[in-house]
Amino acid sequence: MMTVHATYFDRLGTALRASGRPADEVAAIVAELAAHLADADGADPVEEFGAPEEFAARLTGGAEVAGPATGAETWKWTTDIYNDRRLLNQYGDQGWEVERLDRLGRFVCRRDPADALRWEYCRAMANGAAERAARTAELAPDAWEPCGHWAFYMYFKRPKAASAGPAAALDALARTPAEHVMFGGRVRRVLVVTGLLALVAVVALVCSDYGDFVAAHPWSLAVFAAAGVAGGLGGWYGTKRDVAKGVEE
Amino acid sequence: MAADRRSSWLKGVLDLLVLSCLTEGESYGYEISKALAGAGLGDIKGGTLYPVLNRLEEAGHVVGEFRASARGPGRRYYRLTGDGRAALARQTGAWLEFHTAVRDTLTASKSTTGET
Repeated sequence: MMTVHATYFDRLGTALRASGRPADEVAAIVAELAAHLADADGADPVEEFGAPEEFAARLTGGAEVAGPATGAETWKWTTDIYNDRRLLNQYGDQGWEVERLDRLGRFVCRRDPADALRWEYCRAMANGAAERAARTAELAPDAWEPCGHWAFYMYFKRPKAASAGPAAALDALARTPAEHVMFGGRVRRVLVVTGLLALVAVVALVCSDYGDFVAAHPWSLAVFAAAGVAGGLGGWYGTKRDVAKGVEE
Repeated sequence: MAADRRSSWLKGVLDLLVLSCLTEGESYGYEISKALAGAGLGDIKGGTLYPVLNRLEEAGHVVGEFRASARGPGRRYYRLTGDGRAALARQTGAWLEFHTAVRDTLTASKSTTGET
């Protein structure tokens, strides 16, 4: 059994490296998947993931059969983690398919007016390529396909037809939304408070003459830096905790 | 260019291939996609596969049934109907006839090119 698994992961590793994935990333993916398989009581890797070359193609997003239609609409938008799933499913229901997340964390969507489908979305947490590969393998049997990741969370999509069949057909298209940024109340409040604190700090420094202030209080720079780092870390861990709990507005 | 051509070929025959995946019994989207990928037909995404399954279901060639699962939200299972089996037999014959004509033409062309 172990030899069968070793051969499978050798072939998977070769295919991933051939697609341009760095060797250390490939090693991490293989280790994670092997651990996943061990948790599944030594299930057959081909049954679990499919043929290694095809699974590698799915992990690297290669070789899709159908390309985008020429008349397709595109729309980029962003939101926060407290509203993302609700809005993704709302717009997925209007035929918007997320193709990827760009570097700014925006959902890059397309919709072909001639052949639109309803889509549904879910979100998972994953740290690094290996965990993303494991989440992808876990969700694939229920037709979920990865459609983008940002920081420590990733998104999956599937046509609603995967559960509802022809009843999920989209008869009429809503107009393309004009909005591109849709933050909820919680994030807007955090942004306002952060902006006000920054403004107060700048005004205080300017009014007290920055050079004199720092000369008189050299420790103040360290205090400001520590406050910034603490705020950043607090925000990061708070966000991570809320993603793990699935907190929504 | 090669991928585009292959994609066009597949579009013309994907419904038959999906029907052929159901001759041994019921299956669901991921298994069908995996079987086709295993046969060397490429990674067929949900956005391509499910419209085909919908059309086959609407045409009465397959019957779909959603079943909830203990582990997740559930899956839609597909089963070939009598009409679907008949359509598969009929259209497989037509496709193989077309395939033979294409192969014979290209083989003859290759022989001619090889001789010159």
